[in-house]
Amino acid sequence: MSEIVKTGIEGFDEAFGGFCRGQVIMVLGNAGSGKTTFCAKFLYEGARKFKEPGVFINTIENKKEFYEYMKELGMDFESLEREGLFRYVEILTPTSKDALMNLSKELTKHAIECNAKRIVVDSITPIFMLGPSIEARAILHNALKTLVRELGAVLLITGEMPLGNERIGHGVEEFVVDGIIKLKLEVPEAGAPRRIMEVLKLRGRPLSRAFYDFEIGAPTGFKVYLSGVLEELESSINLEDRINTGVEGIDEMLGGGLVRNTSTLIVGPPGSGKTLFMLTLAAENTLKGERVAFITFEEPRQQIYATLKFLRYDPDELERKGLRVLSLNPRAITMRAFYDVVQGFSRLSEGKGSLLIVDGINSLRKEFGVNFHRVVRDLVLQAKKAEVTVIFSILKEREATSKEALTYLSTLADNIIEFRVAEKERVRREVFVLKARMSSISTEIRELELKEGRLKVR
Amino acid sequence: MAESERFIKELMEEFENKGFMVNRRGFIEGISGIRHYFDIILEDPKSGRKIAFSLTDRIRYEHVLSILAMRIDSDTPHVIVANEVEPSIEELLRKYNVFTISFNRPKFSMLMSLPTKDIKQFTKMVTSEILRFLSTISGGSVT
Repeated sequence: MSEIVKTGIEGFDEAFGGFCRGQVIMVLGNAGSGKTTFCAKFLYEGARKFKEPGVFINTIENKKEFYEYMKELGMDFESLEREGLFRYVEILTPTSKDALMNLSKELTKHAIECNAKRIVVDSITPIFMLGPSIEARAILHNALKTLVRELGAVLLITGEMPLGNERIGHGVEEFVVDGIIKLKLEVPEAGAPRRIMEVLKLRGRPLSRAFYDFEIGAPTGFKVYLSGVLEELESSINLEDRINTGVEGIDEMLGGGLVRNTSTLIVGPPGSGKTLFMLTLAAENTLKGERVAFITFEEPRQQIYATLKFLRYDPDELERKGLRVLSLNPRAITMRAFYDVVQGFSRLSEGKGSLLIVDGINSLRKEFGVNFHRVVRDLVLQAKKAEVTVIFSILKEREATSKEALTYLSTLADNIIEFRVAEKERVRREVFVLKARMSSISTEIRELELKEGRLKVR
Repeated sequence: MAESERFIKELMEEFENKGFMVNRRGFIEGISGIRHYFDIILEDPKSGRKIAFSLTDRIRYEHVLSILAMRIDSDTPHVIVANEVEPSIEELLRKYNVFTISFNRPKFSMLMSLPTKDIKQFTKMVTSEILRFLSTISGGSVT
């Protein structure tokens, strides 16, 4: 079996293990889909983590633009170049007449001179598509493979797909290369753009599923999200280690509070007290020294601070003690940003345990559409892995679509606390615990009271 | 007659005398269907094994891909005599049964001017190198 070459790209190696030495991999996509960044990351991490020299042959972008852009994404190629681990080669005006000879010259020369183990040609399209026939391209691909195998390298070649075109290669490439990775940027009419990696072929490596989300941005540059499927699900649970909600009576109903590192769903109609409960939980735990982040998709931060004041907390003091309140526009949030919040937050807490409270997660349902369940699932699994206790609320509505979402989230959550509003002689807020895994819970429906700015149950 | 033509003529005679079938300016149809041109195609009548021969000015980095492409597609060992061969690619090509003989090797340096007498001598040396090359690949598959 050929030697496995780890890409160093977070998520990709976990999913596929990497490439095999001697392989030629085609990275396809429309303009702006992330091909160059994927390839750059492959070279960058190869040099940085595995000390494998790399050559980037670019037919599109000049060196200065490339270095500047990659630096913004956290990849400093200049320093790698100084260390002799990287070479950037420009063939900026490939013509049909001399393009192949130029490619042969630059690839062979630089790869031999610096003993390159990773080579990128970005893009092969202008070189291969201008002149040679399909037969000639096939044998040239074979020659490339032979050369790469002899060099003991891995070659990534990028290919352009015209916008709106789903066609792969130009009739031969897909058969001769060892792997095909297709990158896509989907821009929905509403909501955040989504980047998708589709691995169509990868000789010698298992393909358990075809689609992966990925994101481009600093500091990682390029990151593939595993959606929890191939990751081993992990969490650290100690039944004795519980978090108090800070609301008198509810901890007792939960059998002594929320077990740390579990997920809790707060359900209720508008005005039932969900936000007040979650803010109380956030404030009380911040005061106890927990790391707490409160994310809302519905209210500006100032409004959250005003509500905290209403609950007789001092927002400035809470902020000083580490409470992070993030008011995010669900229309603008990307999946990456969401995950980064969880992971960044986990790093901040330095393993001391922390709480992530997300108010109004249903706002994301409108933006992420059919991907909503997956996003929440990933959020919960990532949080558990990062030892973050996650509490999220969803509005309980009467529409069927809402019920469907609720059913799914109910399965996902370890604990469910439901709030409701009863209208008899007076409006009365009620609370009950529907589910609390690993706990003996009270089955009572109790009244939630707001007295002198503080919540408690009777 | 140009020196290169004289050399090729001498070489063809050498191999004809050794019982090879010699085809001047021959084509080999590759697996892809493309016809690849070579200066000489030698064929051992006993084994039916073919070997392609080319005479060129230089073999540099820019020629590697096309040489390998021809070699793989034609599925035929290839000998190339050149004035100059980039040393770092000589070994690489050799692994794929592309054998290069260059004038820039010291033993051939005396033949740079190529007077008639020396062409004969040079041709004999090339012939002997090609035969040695053939013997290294004849034990197994030529390709």
